[in-house]
Amino acid sequence: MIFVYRPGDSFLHRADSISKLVWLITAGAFVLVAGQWQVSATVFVAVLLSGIFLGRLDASELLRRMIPLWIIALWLFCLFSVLYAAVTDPVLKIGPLSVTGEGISYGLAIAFRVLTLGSSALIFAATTDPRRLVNELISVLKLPYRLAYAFYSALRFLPLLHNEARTILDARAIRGQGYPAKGVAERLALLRGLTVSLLAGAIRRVQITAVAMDSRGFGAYPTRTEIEDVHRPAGGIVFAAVWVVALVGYVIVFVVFGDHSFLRTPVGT
Amino acid sequence: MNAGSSTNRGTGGYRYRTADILLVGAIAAVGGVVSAYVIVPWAKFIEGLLGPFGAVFDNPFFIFWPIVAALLICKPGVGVVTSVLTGAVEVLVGSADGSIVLIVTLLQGLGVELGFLIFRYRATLPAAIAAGAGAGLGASIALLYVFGFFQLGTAVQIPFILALMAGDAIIGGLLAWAIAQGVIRTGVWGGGGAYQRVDRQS
Amino acid sequence: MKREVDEIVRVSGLRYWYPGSEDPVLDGVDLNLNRGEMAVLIGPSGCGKSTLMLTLNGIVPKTVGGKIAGEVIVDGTDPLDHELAEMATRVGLVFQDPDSQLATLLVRDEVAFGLQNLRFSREEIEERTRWALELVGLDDLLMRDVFSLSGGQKQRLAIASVLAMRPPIMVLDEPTANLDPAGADEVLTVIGDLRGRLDLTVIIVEHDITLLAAQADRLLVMDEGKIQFSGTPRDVLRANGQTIRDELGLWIPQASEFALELEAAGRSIRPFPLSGNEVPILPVATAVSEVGAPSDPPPASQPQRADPAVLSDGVGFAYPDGTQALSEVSVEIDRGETVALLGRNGSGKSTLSYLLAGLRTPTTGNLEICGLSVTKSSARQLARHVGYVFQYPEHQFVAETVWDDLAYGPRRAGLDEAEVEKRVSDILAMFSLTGYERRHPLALSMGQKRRLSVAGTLITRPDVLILDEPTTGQDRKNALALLGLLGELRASLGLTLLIITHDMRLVARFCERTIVLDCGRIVFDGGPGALFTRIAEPGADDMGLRVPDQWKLARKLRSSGAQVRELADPEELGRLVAGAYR
Repeated sequence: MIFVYRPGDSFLHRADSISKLVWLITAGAFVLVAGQWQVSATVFVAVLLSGIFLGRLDASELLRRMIPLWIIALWLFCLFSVLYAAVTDPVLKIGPLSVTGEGISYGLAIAFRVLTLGSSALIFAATTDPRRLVNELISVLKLPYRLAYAFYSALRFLPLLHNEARTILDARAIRGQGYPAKGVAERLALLRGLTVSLLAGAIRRVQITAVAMDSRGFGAYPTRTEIEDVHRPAGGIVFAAVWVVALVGYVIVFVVFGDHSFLRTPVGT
Repeated sequence: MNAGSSTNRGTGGYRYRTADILLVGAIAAVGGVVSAYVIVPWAKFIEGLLGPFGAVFDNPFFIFWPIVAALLICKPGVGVVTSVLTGAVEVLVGSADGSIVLIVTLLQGLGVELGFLIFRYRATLPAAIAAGAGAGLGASIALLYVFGFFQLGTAVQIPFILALMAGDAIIGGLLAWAIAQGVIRTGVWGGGGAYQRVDRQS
Repeated sequence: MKREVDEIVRVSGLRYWYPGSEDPVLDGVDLNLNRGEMAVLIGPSGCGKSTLMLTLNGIVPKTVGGKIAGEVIVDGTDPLDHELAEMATRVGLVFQDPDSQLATLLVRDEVAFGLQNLRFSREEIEERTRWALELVGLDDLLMRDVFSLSGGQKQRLAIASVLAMRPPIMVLDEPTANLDPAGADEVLTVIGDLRGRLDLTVIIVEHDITLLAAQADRLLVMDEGKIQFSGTPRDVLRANGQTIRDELGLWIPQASEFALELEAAGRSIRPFPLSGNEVPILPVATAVSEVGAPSDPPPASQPQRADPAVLSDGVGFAYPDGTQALSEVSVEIDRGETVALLGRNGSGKSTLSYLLAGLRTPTTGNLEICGLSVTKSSARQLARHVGYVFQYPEHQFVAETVWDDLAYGPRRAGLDEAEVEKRVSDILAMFSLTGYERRHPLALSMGQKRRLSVAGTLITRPDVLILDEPTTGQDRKNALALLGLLGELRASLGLTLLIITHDMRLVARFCERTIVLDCGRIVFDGGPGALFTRIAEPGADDMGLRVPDQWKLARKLRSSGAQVRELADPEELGRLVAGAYR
């Protein structure tokens, strides 16, 4: 399928999606408030290890999918190493550019931040069945099912879209509007044409689906009968809780020790 | 099953019809897929060259989806929900940007809402442009924070915000408008609203 | 209070206007149905059939808006006075598009969908789900992914999901239009079963009543927003068959066409036949031989050119995941031939057509199109020789106006604007699209879109034209008009035509050669007559195809000694036989 989710039997697969969502948000918050690069790095490593061991994901595939992240992280690292408004003396000079210790620390912090944000979501997506996610959003978070259906509708559409896009591209190719689209203007025109076609097709389908759903009482009541049991293994909840506690602990340390590094200039040691 | 258009699309007031909900999902799906497969490769190339500053050039192509949705379904909430869903779809299909996308889509979605709120949720070109500017504002703040650019001084921040707002407003807003117009001209969308019985006095 | 026991649907004087529309799409509909009846509703596109069906549960006008007048009573209730949710337990609706009408990702969820919305208890839901799936024959697929089902299975699932709420009335709007013959049979069999086991009232909207005529209790013919004819199929077709076929442009059973010709000559067949089996063997042997043509006309001879249109040698195609879609396809198609590509869905027809269009490259074997090797030529070069008309015209429009869409090909080929203008104007006239130049292609009617898609492909004068299901789902008038146009162009442009189709009437009328695929291999290559003979043999594998009634009729007549063409259409047969009585 088009999703990156692969069915499996790991700890993370069995954990409920809400706990995993909490973990995702916590890990993200962690690296967004963390000042020291060592903290970001630790979080990143913890995330990776969770994915590989608790999620039994293939390490090489995970790292490969992260390639765009590695590139951005590297770029940011170099950028900040050089451009950071530091107060200490440079440790290295490359031509007109000065590399400062503070810059390197900050660059590392940001690099690990980006890596964590990207990889945690990848791990989440790889271990979470989208259908189960929607169901649990409705049953656990009590999201109104009509609204959750927007998400469900997106899930239903994706495979159809894939085929339709392929067909549209083929149809245009045979008429000469082929892949070697030259120039920005022609590319934009192709993008616009393709988008309008896909959207018009989506609209046509959606109206049929809406009638078929309304005809079966969709939206009659604010809630509907649930027919699937929600499994919330304690392990998953504990896992999320551990991360939340870690984050809260870290934030308290800030307050207690007055290290407001996330508000100002983060300084490495 | 389609109807003539009005600036409010005649889609039955502010209550979401089933078709509206499904369309938000469908646009998010289209947006997520086109973004992930068509735009992201190009965006990665640009960002590879310019780093995250490249976002100024590729962000418009990510933000026009929620604006198109809001132009077609002129109801509060469409912008932010479509935007976040698009991000969610991107994550589920394995986009490397991961949570960054979720943060950005949330803030830029709120920006789109702001733009439409100012214009009272009417589907007009100025509204689309305002929505684009709002999205640019939200996205730039999100990106600035996530990528730590707040440390680079206002000399970098202000131009970044303005450039993104301008790019999103002009390219994103206009593109969204053009696409929404294209869709409206096909006549496939519309309808809804109250019906009348014309043979009985009640 | 005792409600009328028998009458379950009553519509009187129903009028309806879409929002913003001056003209009513329903203009005084009167309709009565009794409990347990099966009615088939036919009518030209745009006559309001689907709209009428949607008034039965209130979708029209509640979710669509507009203006309504008149009365609709369904199972004793007025849909306008009750919630949609409540009407769900009285009327179930099944729609044409198998993919779009499904709302969930799992079979079980789809069947339970309505029940969940109506807040039935979990136990009740589980019980009814099992019950409904068993009725449609899908009980072993409970937890299957909906997208992995075949078209026929998806439609059966839609039926189950509606049945679960136990409505006394079921409405199906063109349920078999998007299915291959096998899928269509599945669905029609299930419907027949259901009528037997439950006391179900069924209304089916169809564009072709051939398969349903025998089962239906009532035939309703709609035109211009009104029910024009109503009665048993035999009565309606006998009295109005000519009008229905010629003025309304609808398909009627071929056996009925045959009988109508005879009626005109004063010879009646009673009971009025609805299928070839109901036509007795007529003692006409001696008379017809004087007027009948003895055999199929020989295929039109073409000047022998150096390159055949298609030359394939051991061609195979495998998907990246290893699935073998085609194997060992070796075939030669000469210029000017009209070939039908037949087979079940999934047999490889579409894959083969894609290869022939240059849209994919074979993974094994050699393929040449008009002398060009597909592996050595660019897609652009091949596109100059081959045109492809897709099944859904919406996919292939490339511009915002009809004019620009037609002009696209010639402009891209580098023709000067004067020539472009001439070609576009000519083709607009030929395809009855003059006056629509400024419209957006997606805003046209179904028939117009179809014509535009064909026109846009032909305007560049390709040598080979491939068409994917060009007549499927169309009224007789539009289908024959399209074939007529293709026939003219075939002659004037020397086109080679490859037609993917399930429509055997089209094959008999129009194609001189048939190639049948099964599991990616060619299992038959020959004339339509030979194909039908082979399938009709008792115990033979029908390869997913049906034999058209006209051929069965012709065979019957020939077996009694008449000299009629094997592939004669029913009118011709009728005239020949009628001539015997003058």
